[in-house]
This record gives sequence, structure tokens and C-alpha cells, in this order.
Amino acid sequence: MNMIRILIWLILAYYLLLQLIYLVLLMIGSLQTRRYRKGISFTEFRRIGESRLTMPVSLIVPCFNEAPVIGTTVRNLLKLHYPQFEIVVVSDGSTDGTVEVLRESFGLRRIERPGRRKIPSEEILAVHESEKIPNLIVVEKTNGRRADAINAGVALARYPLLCVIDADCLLEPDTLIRLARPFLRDTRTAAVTGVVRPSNGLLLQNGVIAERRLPRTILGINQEIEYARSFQWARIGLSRFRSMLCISGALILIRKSLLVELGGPWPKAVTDDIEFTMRLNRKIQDRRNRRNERLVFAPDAVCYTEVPETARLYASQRNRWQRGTLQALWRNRGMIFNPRYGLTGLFGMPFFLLFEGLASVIELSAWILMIVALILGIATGAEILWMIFLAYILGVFLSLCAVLMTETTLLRSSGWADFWRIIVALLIDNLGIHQFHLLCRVVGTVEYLFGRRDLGLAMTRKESQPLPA
Amino acid sequence: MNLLTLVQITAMVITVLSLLLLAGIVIVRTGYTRRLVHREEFQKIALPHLCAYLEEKEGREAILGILAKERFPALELLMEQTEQMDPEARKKLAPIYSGLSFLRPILADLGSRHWSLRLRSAERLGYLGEESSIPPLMRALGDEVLDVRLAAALSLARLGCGGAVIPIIMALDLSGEISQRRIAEILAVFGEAAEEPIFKILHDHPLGPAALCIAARTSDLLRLRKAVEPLERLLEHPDDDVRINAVRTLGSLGDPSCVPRITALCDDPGWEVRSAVMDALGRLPSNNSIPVLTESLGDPEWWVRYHAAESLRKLGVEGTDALKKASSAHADAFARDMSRQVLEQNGILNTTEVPA
Repeated sequence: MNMIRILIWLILAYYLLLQLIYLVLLMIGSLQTRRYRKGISFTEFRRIGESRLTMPVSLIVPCFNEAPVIGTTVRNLLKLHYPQFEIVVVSDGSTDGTVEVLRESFGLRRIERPGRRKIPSEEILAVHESEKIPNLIVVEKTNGRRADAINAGVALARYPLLCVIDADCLLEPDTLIRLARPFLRDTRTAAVTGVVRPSNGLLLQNGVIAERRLPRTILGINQEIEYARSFQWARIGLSRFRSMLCISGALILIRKSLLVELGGPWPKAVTDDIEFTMRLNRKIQDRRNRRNERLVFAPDAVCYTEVPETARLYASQRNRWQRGTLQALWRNRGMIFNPRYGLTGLFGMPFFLLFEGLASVIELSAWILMIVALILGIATGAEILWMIFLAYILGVFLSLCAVLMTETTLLRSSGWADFWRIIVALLIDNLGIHQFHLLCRVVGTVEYLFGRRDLGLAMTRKESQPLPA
Repeated sequence: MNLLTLVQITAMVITVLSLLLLAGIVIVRTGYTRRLVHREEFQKIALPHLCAYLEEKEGREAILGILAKERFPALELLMEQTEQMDPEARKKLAPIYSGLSFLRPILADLGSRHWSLRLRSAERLGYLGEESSIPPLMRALGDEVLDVRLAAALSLARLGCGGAVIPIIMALDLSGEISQRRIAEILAVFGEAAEEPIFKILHDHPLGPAALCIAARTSDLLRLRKAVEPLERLLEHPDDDVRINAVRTLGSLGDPSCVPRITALCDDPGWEVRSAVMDALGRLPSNNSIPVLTESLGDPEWWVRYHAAESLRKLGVEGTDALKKASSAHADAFARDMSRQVLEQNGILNTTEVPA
């Protein structure tokens, strides 16, 4: 009996610790961003844009059946303010006419360009270049996975920096310049990532983001808060501790030589971005390698990605993320509590294991224990309710902190109506959506243990909305 | 106190904190929105008057009267305008900067213990056009923060203080290619004022190899043709980086009389030097380099082969013919492969259209 009681309190302590760490990370993220902004001089980005120093970038866009969005994505990328870049779209065996859409929009013609295969990938079937756009290449290949498509794209990429983005992603026009800045300032920069936010409410004009609105559904708005809290502010904090173990696949700028040295992302990974980031950390943080390189978070480089707004797609995505996290942790388990990897091994990896990989299982245990305790009369209903309320209000407090920080940046909500929708969404997040999320992750954990390694349901894409006349 | 009481108290405290935080967010948001709207409105009012002043339709006093109401937003507006104007037109803004008396508060910030204020100050001084800010900027070249030193250097360049060229080279971090290129770009902002000091560095070698690299890069950006002769002498310098930078600049300056001196380096032990030589030969219009480039297609280093092939292609019909010939008849298989690759990349060989 006492054991159950002790377990409940232990889990509560775990939850409090988790929220406390997140709060500290958010605060560090906020301070880091403030410091970053102060260091930007008035003409900095204009000079980067005009400088011969700025390294050219190959943008690799892996895509599988992305016909509804690929045209918009490429048009958006063509509007980037950057001195020299090329776009390499890799169609990973698409069957929905993705290449046809590109051919109609950009006038493709087939060329002979075998590339230099430095990383193995599935067979490249054809390479096309655009008759209208000199810096656009489209690669057709046999279906592998996203990672395999990236690896094929690397063979055709000509420039020393690679920027990998998802086919549904939209970038602000100066995102690439802001991502490239750390490479110009510090030769130790290995890779840079930026802010990823939901694109569902964006309005476009000629491929450029004209207005940012919120997604329409509660699930979408909920992810807006989640992305701000966990994928923006907390990640900046984690990067301070050399513990950024998940660079979103939606946006990464990396030295090509380093990506090739690592053998590219792993094609069998369930979430290739998490696995690749961990492997990248394993390489550069290992004291034996004496690399002295660093991963950088650029808090003003913004990428928008489509988030699922139906329960079915959301469940599939979170299930996949959970399986991918566990797979990546298992493959890189040698880093956990290993002092050879410095802070990454002693803080980052244990944090990721305990508060990401196992969080759902621990939280589910808490719910089960509370029910058992209630049935056996070990805890009273009032005690249980107070504990649930504490967990709820802590979550609300943390989300409000993230909203406060976001409101002082250019990513603030576009009007009072959107602002209050965010507040309502964060208040009701813990009244069902969070529990649904938990369930998806628990199912993901169980399925991972039973050997499931597929990618789940593909996102059904919606075309971005044009700005109303 | 039992644990339940602790939970209750914690929950209540956090609830109160959350409510306060929500109120705080609303206040922050309101203030932020107001500031943004205010700034936009100020710019809307001030910009037409500023344009009228620049077109000499309005007097200095009128525009000063408007800008003086919001001095620091006005400074940002003026800096933005300065960036969009050519150097000659920028002189028209000097009376406005001086009329708003920015110098004293900005100079005070240069002595601040906060690096961000020093950075902002060092940057702004370059726009004011006041010669009295040169000595403090020279002192700022010794700041502990690299960004402040760079901002001070750029401001000195904007002020056209030619005497600052050598102190800048000495004050800034010289290690690494990127640092050197950043400094060269700043020195290029000096324009003509930098020509003499740069030539002196190349000619007399008063500083070390890193300074020679920077000087070579700067003479490229300044298109300093009189630097050709000292640059040719640098081709024999023992430091690899100096030879690379000299070759690159000679290639970029485009004087074909340098070709024999440059081709003498095609057997240099450093592959980066050979690669730079091949690249430079493609920029110098001389068919005399075709045999050397053709032979270098078989170099053991990929980048040397690639630049040799690219340079042949750039040399026009004769070079392209030599490349086509090499793609089938060169004795070295790697040379044939590279020639084919470059021809294909440039659509000269084996490019097939997709049927409609």
C-alpha cells in the first residue's frame, strides 16, 4: 500500500522536475534570444546578402507524393533573398504526378547529370533541369524513404552548404541569410537550425508569406503553442547546454562535407532527423575526435510546416515520432551518461531518454497508479484531484511563459482575436488533447517494442491559401 | 505540513502566478503594439519630409523640427535612408545628423560596460560623418569583443579614414579564411583611401603573411591594377595561403601578362595552390594556358582537375575544343571523366530533351 503511495509521489516529483527543467530552458532560451538580437548590427543581413563571402547553398527538398504543395514550395523558395543557391527537388518515387506538376510549372527538360555519389541511395532514374529557372533541378528516383531521397540529392548538390527542408515547408524570404550567418561568424559551425512553426493558417501572395494567421482547429492551435514551447524556446535553451538532440527535419543548414562524412541520414530510421541529429552530436561532441564544432540555433530563421489537424493524422504522426525517438535513443545508447560526450552525454541524452522517450510511459503509470490508489482507498479523491490540478496548472503556467516570450518577437499573434484563441487553447490543452497525445505515444512505445518500423499514414496535404483580394 | 497541503499551496501559488502572468502578457502585448504603431506613424510622417529635403524642396529646419520629436527612431530612419543612397548623396544627410546632436550620447555609449551598447555605438558613429569620432573609434579597435572591433572598423571605413587601414589589419583577428575575407570586405569600403596603404603592405611586407593575404584580397575588391607587380612577386612567397591569395587576385584582376608567372605554379606542392592556379587561368584570356590546363586534367587532386576543365571551357572555342578532345583522347582516365562531366554539366555534351 505504502509502495503505491510512494510511487505516486515519486511520479509527481518527476513531473514537477520536468516542468521545472522546461521553465529553466524557456528562460535560458529567452535570454539567449535577447543576446542574439543585441548582437545583430543594423546592416548585418544586407551585407551578408551582398557579400562574396556568403557561401552558396544547395536546398534539398525530398518529396513523396507532394503534388498539391510542391509548386507552392518551390515558388516560395525561389523568392529567398540569398546571393547564390540552387534547389534540388528529389521525387522519391512519387506516384501522384509530383514531377508533372513541376514540369508544367517550371518547364523541365531531362539532362544527363550522373552526379557524384558519395552516399549510397536507391537508383536515380532521371535528372531534369528547368528551362525557366536556371537554379532548379528535379531528380526522380526509386522509392526509398526521406533519408534516402536526401542522400540522392546530395549527389547532385553542387554547393558546400546543404539546406534540407520538407516539401510542405514555407520559408520567410530572409531565412537562408539568417541560417547562414553563424557559418560566416564562426568556422566551428557544423549545422544551424531555426524556428519551425505550423503553416496551416498562412496566407500567401506570389509565393511569399503575406499574413500569418492561426490554424483553424483547436488541434492546430494546440500545436502552435507546443511548437513555440518545446520546439522553439526550450530548444534554444537545450542548444546552450550542447543538448540539441533533435534538429527538425523541416529545416537544417549543414556543411556538405560533414553530412557526407556521417554517411547522410539513415534510410531505415523511423524519424531520420532525430537519429541524424544524435549521430551528428556523437561525432562532434566526442572528445576523442577533438572536433570543437557546434550546432547553432538561429532564433530568427523561420520555417513553417503543415501540422496535422485531424485526430487520425495527428495520432499517426505522434506515434511515429515516439517510435523514432526510441529507435534513435537505442542506436545511440552509448552516449547516455557517458562523460566522453561532455554535457551532451551527461545531461542531454539522459534528459531526452527520461523526459522524451519514457515520458509517456511514466505519465500513463501515474494515471494507472492513481486509479488503483483510489480503488484501494490508499488516496482520497481530493488528493488525486489536487495532484491533477497541480499538473494542469503547471502546464498552463509553462505555456503562458512561452506565449509571453513569443509576444515579444516578430512571431507574435497577428491580432487580439488570435491571441485569445491561443489562450483558450492552452487552457483546454490538458483537458483531453494532452491525454490523447499521451495515448498515441504509449501506443507508439508498445508498437516499437513489437518491432513496428514503418512510417505510418502519409499527411494529406492542403494547398496554402492565397491572400484574399 | 503533509504532502497534500504542500500540493495545495503550490497549486494555488501557481494559479495566482498564472493569472498575473496572463495580465502581464496582455500589458506587454498592448505596449508592444502601441510602440510598433507609433513608430510606423512616425515613419509615415517623417519620410515624405525627408525625401522633400533631399530633393531640396524643404529646408533643413523643417525636417529637423519633425525628426527632433523622436530622436532615436529618427536616427534609425536616417540610417536606413543612408544605406539606400550613393556616397555622394549621403553627404546631404550630414547636416541633419549634426543638427540632431547625436554625437555626444552615442560617444558616451562607446564607453559603456555593456558590449551591445558599445556595438550599437560603434556602428552608429559611422553614419554621423563626424571626424571627431575617429579617435574613439580607433580606440574601439582594441575592444575585447570582436563584433565591436568589426563595427568600429566599418565605421572608420565609412568615414574614409585612410590612416586606419593598417591599425584595422593589426587589430582584427587574422586567423582563418573567413576572418580575412570579412576584414577585406570592410577595407574595401574605404575605396580609394585604402589603395596606398594596401599597396604599401603588398610592396614592402611590413606585416606578416596574414596581412599579405588580406591585402591581396582587398586589392581584388578594389580592382587595384597597380598591385599586379607586387602580387607577382608574392607568387614566390613561402606561405601557401599568400600564394593562393596572390594567384586568385591576379586571376580576378584579369591581366593576361601574368599567365607565364602563374603557370609556373602549376607544379606547386600544395594542391590548393594548384587548384587556385587552374581557376585563375580560366579568368585570364590567353590561349597559351591551354596546354597547361589540358595536362592538369590528369592531376591527382579532384578540385585541380575540376578547375582545369572549367577553365578550359571558359577559354572559348579553343578551350572547349581542347576539352572535347581530352574527353575522348586524354591518356588519363580521370582526365577523360572530368572533361566529360564538365561538358555535360554545361550542356555541351549528351544533353537530351525529354519528349513532350
